[in-house]
Amino acid sequence: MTIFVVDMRFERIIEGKDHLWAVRDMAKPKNELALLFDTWNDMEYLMQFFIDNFSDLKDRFHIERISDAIEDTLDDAEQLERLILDIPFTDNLDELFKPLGTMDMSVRELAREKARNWDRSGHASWLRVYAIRLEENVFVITGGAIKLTRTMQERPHTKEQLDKLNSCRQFLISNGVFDADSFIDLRKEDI
Amino acid sequence: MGTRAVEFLESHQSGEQSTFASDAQWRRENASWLKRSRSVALAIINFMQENNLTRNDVAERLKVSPQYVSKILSGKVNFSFKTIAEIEERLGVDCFQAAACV
Repeated sequence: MTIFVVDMRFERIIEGKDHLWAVRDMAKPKNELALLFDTWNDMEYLMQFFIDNFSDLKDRFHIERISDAIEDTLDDAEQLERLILDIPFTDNLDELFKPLGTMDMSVRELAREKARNWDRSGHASWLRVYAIRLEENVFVITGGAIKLTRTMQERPHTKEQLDKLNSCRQFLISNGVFDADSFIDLRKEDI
Repeated sequence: MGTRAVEFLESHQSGEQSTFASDAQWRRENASWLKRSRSVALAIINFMQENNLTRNDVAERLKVSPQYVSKILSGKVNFSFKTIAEIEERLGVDCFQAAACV
């Protein structure tokens, strides 16, 4: 479900740089990226998350100890944080973010994209940062998730992130950031 | 002068500064003791899973409030030796060993 928002606020992630922004819900204390990393560093939140999603963890990643999953998440969050803030990615985000689905590969602007720690050793990273690519090396982060399933549509917490991506994209289109005549409906693909 | 997209984002700013970089800096500067605090929390989480215990069960055993257990489990507590010793005695979890192994 795409929620149509009349106003949306943004925050620049690194002072003096125009390339990375995050959505800020003014009812929350921080922007989406800062909140995301707060939750990924909150072990009690992570414990409850992995208890609630234990079957996905076990079936897809073959991990049965909650503490192992938490440890992996903390390590991965630290590495992803560095990828976002440190060079070379901070100056070349097109290397860090990849299109979310095949339909996003065909749009040149306002594509929905995901970042993760692509080179993680051991199992693939389950941490995702989601963003809209406005143009070359300019991204707006809408949120993120721990993705333990193949598609985002399979679980409410990842489906919610998909809705946030679509809402942000719709807001940007309706405000003329992108030519509406070229609009492609990206909401029908399983990703 | 920014591009059209950047100009749009600038005209829709929240008016507040992002805390992401400063939060990350805090985590880096405090990484050394945070790792030890996290190891203690991980040892307790292991104990909880192995014994099928809830946060309230642990609070009862430690004779503290469930809110205090939440604090311990957050992985952001600068524990005193006294607190560590009490957790070890009441839960039978080797916290010193866990913290030393990082």
